[in-house]
Amino acid sequence: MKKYDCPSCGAEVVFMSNLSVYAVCKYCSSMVVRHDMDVESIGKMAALPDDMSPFQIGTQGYYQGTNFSLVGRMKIGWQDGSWNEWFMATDDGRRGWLAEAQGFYAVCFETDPPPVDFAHKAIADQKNPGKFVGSTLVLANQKLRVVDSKKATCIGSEGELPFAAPQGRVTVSVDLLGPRGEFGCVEIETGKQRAFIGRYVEWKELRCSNIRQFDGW
Amino acid sequence: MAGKQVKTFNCPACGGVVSLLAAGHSVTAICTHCSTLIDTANENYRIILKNRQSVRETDIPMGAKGVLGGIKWEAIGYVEKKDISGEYFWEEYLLFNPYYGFRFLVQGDDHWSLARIIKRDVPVTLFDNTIIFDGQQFDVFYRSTATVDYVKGEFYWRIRKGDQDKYADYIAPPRMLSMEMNQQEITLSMSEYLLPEEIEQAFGVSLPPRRGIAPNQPPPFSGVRHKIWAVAVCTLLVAFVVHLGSSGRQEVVNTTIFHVMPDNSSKSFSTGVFFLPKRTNVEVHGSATPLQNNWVDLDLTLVSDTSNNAYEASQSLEYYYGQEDGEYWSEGNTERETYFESVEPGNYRLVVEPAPGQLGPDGMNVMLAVTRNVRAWSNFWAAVLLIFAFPVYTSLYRRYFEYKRWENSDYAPNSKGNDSDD
Repeated sequence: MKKYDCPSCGAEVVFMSNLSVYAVCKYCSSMVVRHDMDVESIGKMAALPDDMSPFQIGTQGYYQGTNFSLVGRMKIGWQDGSWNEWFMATDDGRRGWLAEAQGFYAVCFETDPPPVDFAHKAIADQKNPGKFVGSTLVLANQKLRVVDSKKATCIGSEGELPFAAPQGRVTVSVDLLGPRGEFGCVEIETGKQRAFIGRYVEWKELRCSNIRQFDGW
Repeated sequence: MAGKQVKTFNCPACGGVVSLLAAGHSVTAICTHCSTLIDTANENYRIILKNRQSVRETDIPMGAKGVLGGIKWEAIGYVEKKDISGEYFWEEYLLFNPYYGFRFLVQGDDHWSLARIIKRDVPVTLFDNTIIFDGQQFDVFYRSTATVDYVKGEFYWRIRKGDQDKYADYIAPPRMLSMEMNQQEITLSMSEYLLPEEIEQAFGVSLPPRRGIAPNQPPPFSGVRHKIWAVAVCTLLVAFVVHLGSSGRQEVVNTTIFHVMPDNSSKSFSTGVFFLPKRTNVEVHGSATPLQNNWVDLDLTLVSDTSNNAYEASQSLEYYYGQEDGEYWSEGNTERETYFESVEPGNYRLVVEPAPGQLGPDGMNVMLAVTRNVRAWSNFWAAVLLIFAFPVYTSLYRRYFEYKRWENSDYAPNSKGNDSDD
C-alpha cells in the first residue's frame, strides 16, 4: 500500500495494489497517475451514473482459493448498454478482474494476448461485420468461441486501476466463451491488445462481504 | 452503506415520473403513463417510439416481488410473444435481483416455467433434433419464429414490438432447453417447470387453471412410477406368502361312496356328519364309475347340523370317447372338483341329488371326498388384479399423457410413452 497527496486537493490518495498506476481521488474526483516518485493529476472524472451493482470499492470475495478485494472500477458503455469491470487486489498478486454484465459475473486474470492478426480481424469486423463472431481462439491453452465483439467506451472510473482509464477511452471489446463456462476477453486499444482468461461464477460462489445494500432487498 | 432508492426520471414524452428498477442494466423502458418506449442506456432518456397501446394488466404486476427457489425476485419487465403461425402465444416476465441477476418467468396456456440464460459454449444449431446437455437428452418440440407483440416495464436489451427471433424448444420434462437466434447471436436458456401454485404463493396472485399439457410438464407419477411398481410387486409377494400360510394343512374330512340304482336314480344321499373346526374353503372331489359316453349331474348341498347354514353347488361329470377316421378321441372327465368358499365352522353333512344320464343295470358308483383347508386361488388372483390395477393405470395414463403432449408438436417421436426417464 502506498499513500500520496492528491496534487489537486491535497487529500490522501491510497494505492492498495502495487499493480495500480492510476486512481481517482475520492474527494475531488481528480484522475491521478502514479510515477516512480510522485503523482500527477490528469484531469477530473465526472460522477459515475448510479447503478444496481452489488459491488463497491472495498467489497471482499473469494475465488479459487484466493481472497480478493475490489479496489477500482471502470464503467464501460456501448451502443446497447453498459457493464462494470472491477479491478481486484488478490492475495497472490495477480492482475484480476471481476466483470459484471447483465447480471452475470466472471472472474478473469490477465494472460498473454493473441497474435496481432486477431486484433486486425476484430477491427475489420467492426467496419464490416462478417464471420468473426462465432470463430474460435485459443487463449491460455483453452479453446474459446467469440460470442460478442463491440466498440466500447469508458464512461468513467473510480478507485485505482493498473492503467489510465479516462472517460472516452475507446476499445474494441471481444468476449469469448468456453464449453464449461470459461470466460475470455480481449481488449483492443490502438496498437495494443490485453487478454483475460477466467470463468463465469455464481453470486453465491464469490462469498462476498461488504457488498452494497439496497432498500427492499 | 445503503444504496439509493429506486432511480426515477421524467418521461421525455409525457413528463410523468418513471421508475427504473434495474438502473445500470436497463437500456429500454416503457413509460407507465403513456407507454412510450424510452432509451435508458444513458441519462439522455431518448424517445425510441411513441406508443398508442393501452396499458395491459398482467397476472404479475410490474414491481411485484416474490421468492422462487429461495431467491427473491422482482418482476421488472413483461413481453407478450406470438408464434409466426399465430397459433401460439406466451408471456415472458423479466425477473431481477441485484445480487443474483436476471431470470425469466414464462407463461403459456397458464403453465409456468422459470428460465435462465446459459453462459456456456454449446455447439448447437437450430436444425438439431436432439441436444445432449449435462448428459441429458433434449428432444426438439417446436421450431419457429417468435414476434414481440407487446412490451411493458424495463429490459436490459433493446426490445420493441415487432422484433423477431428464430427459436427452437427442446424438452426433457420438467426441463426445457430453448435456443433463440437473431442476427447477432444464439442465446441458450434452460427452463424448469413450475406449478401455478408456486407462482401464486410467491407473488400473492391468483392464476387461472392450466390448459392442456405443456411441452415440459412433468408426466403424472413422475419419479414415483417405479416405486409404485416396486410396492405392487412387494405386496404381491406378501399376498402370496400369506395365501400359502393362512389356510393350514389340507385334511380330508369325509369320503363316501353312493350307489345310484337305475330304478331309483334321483334318490338323494347324505354323507355322514363331519366337523369343520374353523371357517374354511371346502373342496368336494367327485368321481363316477362307470362313466362311459355318459353323464351325471350332482346337486351338492352342504348342510349344517348345528345352524341354518346351507351352501349349494352343482357338479357335472361327463365322459365321452370313440373312434373317428382311425383316431381315438375322448372328451370330458370322470372326476371333478367343486368348491365351497368361506364355510362357517360346525358339523356338516353333504347332501347329494344325482341326475344321471343313462344307467346300465348295475347303476353307477359316485365317490365323494370332502377336504377342508383348501386354498382358494380365485381369491389370490382377485388380489393380484387389485394390486396391479393402480400401477397398470399409472403406466397407461402416462402413455396417454405423452401422446397428448406430443400432439402439439410437429416432431412427435413414435414410442415416447415407453421412455423410462424418471
